[in-house]
Amino acid sequence: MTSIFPPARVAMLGSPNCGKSALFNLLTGANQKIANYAGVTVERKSGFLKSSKGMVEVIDLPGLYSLNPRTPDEAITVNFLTGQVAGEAPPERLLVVLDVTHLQRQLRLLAALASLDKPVLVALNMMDRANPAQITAAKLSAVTGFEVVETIGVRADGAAALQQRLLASCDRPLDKPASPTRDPQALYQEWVDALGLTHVLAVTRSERLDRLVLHPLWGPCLLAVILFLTFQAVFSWAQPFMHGISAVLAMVSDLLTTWLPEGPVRSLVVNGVVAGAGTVLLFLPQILLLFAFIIVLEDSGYLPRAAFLLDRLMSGVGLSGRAFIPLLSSFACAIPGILATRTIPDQRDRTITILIAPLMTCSARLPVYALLIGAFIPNQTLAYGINLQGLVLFILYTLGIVGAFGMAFIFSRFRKAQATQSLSMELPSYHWPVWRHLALGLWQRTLIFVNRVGGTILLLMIAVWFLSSFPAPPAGATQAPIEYSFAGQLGTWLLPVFKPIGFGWQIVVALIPGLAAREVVVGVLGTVYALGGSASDISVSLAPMIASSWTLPTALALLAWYVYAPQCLSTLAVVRRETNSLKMSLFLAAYQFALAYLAAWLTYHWALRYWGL
Amino acid sequence: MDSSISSDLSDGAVVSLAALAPDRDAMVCGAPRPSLMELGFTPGARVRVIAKAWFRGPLAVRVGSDTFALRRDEAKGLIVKPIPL
Repeated sequence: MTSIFPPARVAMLGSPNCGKSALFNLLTGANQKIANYAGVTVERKSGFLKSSKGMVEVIDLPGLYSLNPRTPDEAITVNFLTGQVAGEAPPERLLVVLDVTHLQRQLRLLAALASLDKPVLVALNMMDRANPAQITAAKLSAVTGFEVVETIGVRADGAAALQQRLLASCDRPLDKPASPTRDPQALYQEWVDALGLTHVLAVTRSERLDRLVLHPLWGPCLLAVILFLTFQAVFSWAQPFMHGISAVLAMVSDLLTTWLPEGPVRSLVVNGVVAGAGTVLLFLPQILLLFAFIIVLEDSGYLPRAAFLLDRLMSGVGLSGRAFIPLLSSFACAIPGILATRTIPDQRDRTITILIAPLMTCSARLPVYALLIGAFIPNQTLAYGINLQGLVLFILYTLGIVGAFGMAFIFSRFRKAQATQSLSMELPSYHWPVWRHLALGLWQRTLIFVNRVGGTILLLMIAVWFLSSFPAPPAGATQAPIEYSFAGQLGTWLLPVFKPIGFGWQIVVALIPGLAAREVVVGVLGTVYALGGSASDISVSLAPMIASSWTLPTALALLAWYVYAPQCLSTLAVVRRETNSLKMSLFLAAYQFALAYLAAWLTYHWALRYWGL
Repeated sequence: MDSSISSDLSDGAVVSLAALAPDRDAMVCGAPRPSLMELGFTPGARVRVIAKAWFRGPLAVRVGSDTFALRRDEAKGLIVKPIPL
């Protein structure tokens, strides 16, 4: 009865935090991002289930609370459901995911969806958790008239029954609503009464924990401790792994130097690839540690609580409380952060958030910070076991945040605020982090990073090596050969602009490809210094080399520059797409350049004066 | 307006959610904004404030099986009736 082509399309729907994305991953095997806060599914994703009977396409859509969208994110889902997306037919079937622990509100969504008059399958999720009203699939099915399958999104086999049913739907159709014309409100009330969902507010474990976590005094203290620990850990725990990678790189470099004959090929491999791209690889452990902290905080449900605690501060600078999660995502990378601003209902709030998101310290800046801190800041322990290097890293991240809030304050003066500021943010129940999600998240991060190093960064490094090696120095040259190359000439040409903030031509050369991918700065310095040195001291240990050739004020100025410097080109492209305005992305680049220059200038001159150099 | 109402906590009195004492169960009355209704703040629903952030920051409010963070201005517009202890 059902044709095999095209595949039957099932739209996966549910309110935010119902565990939809985790179920989608179990169903389709796609490795989609999962997190315990609203707004993770910023674009629709689809996956396929196949059997001998036919094929089913499952489309994961952003979560929604009702069919009246309040955010650009919810609008995506509603427009798709009602067939308002140009060139795209509405889905034929609906898979509605309900969290059994939060059934009462979610039934309202189910009642609204019933009015669409499409075949519905209900997945009753989180069946592993406490369920005081004793709701079962059979009970829910009897009351609502829809077919219901129980699922457990956190277990590897938790979606097996659902998968079977979806595949069987190729020849056993799903039920349609019994009375699609009923008023959703009346239908909802009837269901709630029939299921005996009482109005009494049971005190849950999450609520007891929230009394501490959201406490006016202890809450902010806990938040500060968590953030501080994160940056301490990024520095101290990563050390052994970094030493390991560094030793391997040194060995590879030595071996290649011995094996390859002297000449351009050896120079390209040793100076361009190993000293360049290899040096970037060194920072993988720190990036993974940072992500481990972010993933655990996401998965546990702590992040919206942090947003709650910081909301007063954010509203003080004219930001919406919903800006917190996009801003936090920007610590990984500004691009997902900017995409996540689609959960902000107000256009003005959204634009301000997009403009300041790139000031959050993205993970691509971490290698630059780590290199300079490792080279210039002594690894000593201050009082109470606080590590000085970790402290400096914490300060750099803080400077980014302070800068972002300052800019938000300025921008909000120029744009008219709406009358009532709304937050209406769900604080989901706490969950133990699922180690499978953590492992998967870190593995994806490793792949992304290694692909970047092997792709964009490697190509840029080869280009940089070429520009730094040719043309060869004229006969009787007195300086290092690189100073006569294209890169050296370009650096010298741009030097007057950057000299007032203490940058030498080597740094200027590194800043330019850094616009394409920030980590490249570290690689370029590796190549430039490896080529600049004599043939005998080619080494992958860049830190001691720059420590001996730069002054402390220069290093501090470069750190300050990197807190605010214009983002990579891909960020500017995403800003252009999301705001639909080239002017906005040019403005972003211009104000960041000005801010970075100012910060570096102030830092350089303050440091010169302070250390009396 | 809020303060005059909240000073009278006898049975039958109504207050805004922003003025409701923490840990006191109450019932939503009147006609809440549609956007709040969609979150479950419907007439008759039980609510409880579980935390108030400092410096007049947001409130964490239990409603049904959910918890939401609402800014004070949003909470001021929601009229509730404390349930006698």
